[in-house]
Amino acid sequence: MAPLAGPVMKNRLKVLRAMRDWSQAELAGQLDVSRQAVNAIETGKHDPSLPLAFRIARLFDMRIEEIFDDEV
Amino acid sequence: MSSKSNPNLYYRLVDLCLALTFISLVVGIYDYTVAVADQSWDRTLDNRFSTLFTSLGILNFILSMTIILATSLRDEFAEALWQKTAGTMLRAMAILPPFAMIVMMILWPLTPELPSPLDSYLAEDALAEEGLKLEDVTRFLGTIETVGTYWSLTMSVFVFVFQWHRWRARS
Repeated sequence: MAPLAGPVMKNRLKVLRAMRDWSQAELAGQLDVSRQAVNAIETGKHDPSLPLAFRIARLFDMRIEEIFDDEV
Repeated sequence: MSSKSNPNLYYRLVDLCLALTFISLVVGIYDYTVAVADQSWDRTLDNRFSTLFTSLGILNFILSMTIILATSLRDEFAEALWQKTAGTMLRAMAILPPFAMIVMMILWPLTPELPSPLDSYLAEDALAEEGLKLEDVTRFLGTIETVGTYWSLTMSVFVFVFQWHRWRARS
């Protein structure tokens, strides 16, 4: 399926979540978004907003560019 | 994006709205089919299932409106789906009406001739005493009924298209 809007960035969210043994619902709860939003980001259907990308980076204690790759 | 008390609530509302729409459709199609079969248009929905159908309709109407208007309930993915749905609806509004009119013109001769439900409660003599013509009153009430129908229909279709985009994003 095509992403919701334009090309979508690659990301390591699924790997980082698996490393912490979190479910999508648990990660969604920590990020204050729905489980569907986490699933859509992980599967490349949706690019997070800049504020959400920062929240993700802070949660994993990493820089945004270490999680998201803008070379589509 | 502001903090959401429960970001999943919006999707639960969409699920509930779709379930109610499905039940309403089943009841409505069954009722219409029976009415066409026994030529009892004046009995449809006024007598059968009226309480159920009205309750479902009102609840569905409120839910659909909430889904469309309640920005604060949407997280950013729901907002993206909402915007994609709005785009789809606008494109459909520009393209589909001519096709709908052609289909209606083709199907019109096949439609059983039923009296207008508006005529059933408009007494021509009583209207004449008030200086009103049945044709004018029927046209006026018909316009209101049409606007109301498309109002609720458009909101239901919006929820359906939203769910379609949601399914596509999930697969």
